[in-house]
Amino acid sequence: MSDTPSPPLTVLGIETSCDETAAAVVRLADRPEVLSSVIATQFERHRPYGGVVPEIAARAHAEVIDTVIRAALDEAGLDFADLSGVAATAGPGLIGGVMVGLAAGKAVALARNLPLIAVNHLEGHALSPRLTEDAPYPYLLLLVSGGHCQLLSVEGIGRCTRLGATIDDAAGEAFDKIAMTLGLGYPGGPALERLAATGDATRYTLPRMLLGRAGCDFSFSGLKTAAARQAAGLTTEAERADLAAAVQQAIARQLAERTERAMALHLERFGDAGRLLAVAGGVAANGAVRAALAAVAARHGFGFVAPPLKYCTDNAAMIALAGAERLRLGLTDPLEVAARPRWPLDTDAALRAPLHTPGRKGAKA
Amino acid sequence: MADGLARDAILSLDLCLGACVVALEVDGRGVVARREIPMDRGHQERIAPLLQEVTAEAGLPLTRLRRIGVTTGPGSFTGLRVGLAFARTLAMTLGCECVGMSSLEALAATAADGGTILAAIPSRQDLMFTALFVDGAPVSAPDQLALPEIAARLAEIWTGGPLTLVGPGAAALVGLAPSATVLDIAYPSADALARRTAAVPAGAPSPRALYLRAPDARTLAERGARV
Repeated sequence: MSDTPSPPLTVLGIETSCDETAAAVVRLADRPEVLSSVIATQFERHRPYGGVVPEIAARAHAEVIDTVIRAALDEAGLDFADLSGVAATAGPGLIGGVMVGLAAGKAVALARNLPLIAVNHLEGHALSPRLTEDAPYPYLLLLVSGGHCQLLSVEGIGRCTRLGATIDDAAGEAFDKIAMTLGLGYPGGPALERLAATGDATRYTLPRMLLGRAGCDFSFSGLKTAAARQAAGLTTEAERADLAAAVQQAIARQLAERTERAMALHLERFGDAGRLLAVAGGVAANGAVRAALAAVAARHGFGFVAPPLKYCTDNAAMIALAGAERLRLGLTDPLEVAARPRWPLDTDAALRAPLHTPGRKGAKA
Repeated sequence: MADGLARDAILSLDLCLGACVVALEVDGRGVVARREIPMDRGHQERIAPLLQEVTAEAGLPLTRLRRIGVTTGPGSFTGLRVGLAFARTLAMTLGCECVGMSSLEALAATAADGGTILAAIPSRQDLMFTALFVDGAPVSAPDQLALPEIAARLAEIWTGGPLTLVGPGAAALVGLAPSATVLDIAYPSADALARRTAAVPAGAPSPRALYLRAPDARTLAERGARV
């Protein structure tokens, strides 16, 4: 830390790793300020398929990437000349889309002679609480979305330690797939939460995966199978609401219980300086999940922060922030940087204990 | 852009096929720097450094560009998207025009002028992306066709005279016209690309991808699932 404050950095962020084409401008001085955050969602184009189709996603990104970038600058009231750098998601994610955003980011960097920062999408999520909340390092992060479910100690840029992760499905995936079996369409998570609001969570018994098991890993596939079996026999709306409530409670409980275990590991390492729990990812929008996590945090004397929903789900402001923090440390990437479909945030943990069969391309996340 | 520099250069890019092709042309001087780097994959990694090389060699800043031309497909879906995203964003950032051309058009421009030209790029299975040109002008829209359909279309248009088959699919079509000249090339030349970019009229719409094949996916209804 130097005594003089660092000059503010204004970074364009680009995010195209799944089904949102996003661009944002973030200014990082003492604190980050989001000057714009534009998201072109492709949701309607994937809906008939019941999930994200990679080729459709890639095509949609390529159609709008330049106009989305332009819109982010216009909304910020800035020109390319005002930028200090360009950050683009380089993985992990759907590779066709990642390449579109990364190529566009390189074009801006090359045209304006700006430094390029290739950002790990997961690092973007890991830093997202800092966009709006006072979240000093180190903090414990639960990243919980349709594609990811991990517990991380976040110490800073490039310094995330994985404490646990799902061994099968992500929590958001479980929400969506169970919602589908309940006939709730896609994406089903928010619809399931609405249905659960009137339900009785005690009517159906669902398996409590990994309960009491050591470690901080997650598993949702057994729950998904059991819920699908129950859903097949339901006839009334009340039964469906009760099952939805049971599913939501089971997922929230598992997330809270595994987070509680991670808190102990996190404290062992960082002591009282680390008493902060942050949540990120689309599932953080679920009220029952938030309440369960807030309760666990309170019980163990942790602060609890959850960014607003627009920064929980995929967005480019978090990519711009990760880019700005990297740029401040002098971490930039060459213009030949490759897109990486698989890119674990904590490379050591991924190699030590791969959760997915790594295959010849290495660990996924 | 209020930089006071002349806008007198044109950049052309093709990333759809088996190479990164780049041509940099200056008004009144023709193509001053070019690259044709064969590759099956890795276009995304290569294109920006390649452009740096080309502008350095020509001693010409990107801010001099008045137009960028890019191939829009058909070809590798990944390659054409990287080319389009890169070219359109580059043009937007520099405040210059961006125009598109089909990869078949660029291949045809690589063959000799005059006569009938059939440009062909293998698609999947027995299908080919093809288009026909007579004396340099397109006479059929780019299409994905099976061999018998290509033969029928050729019979409609070719009434004798010189015929050239060009592109990575050319050799496979030689049975259709044993007398044809076969130009079995994996990508267009940089000079042909530059000629096509220059030929696009001003005010053309922003280029869009030309896939000629729907994404491989079935809707829930097609899968018979409960929606």
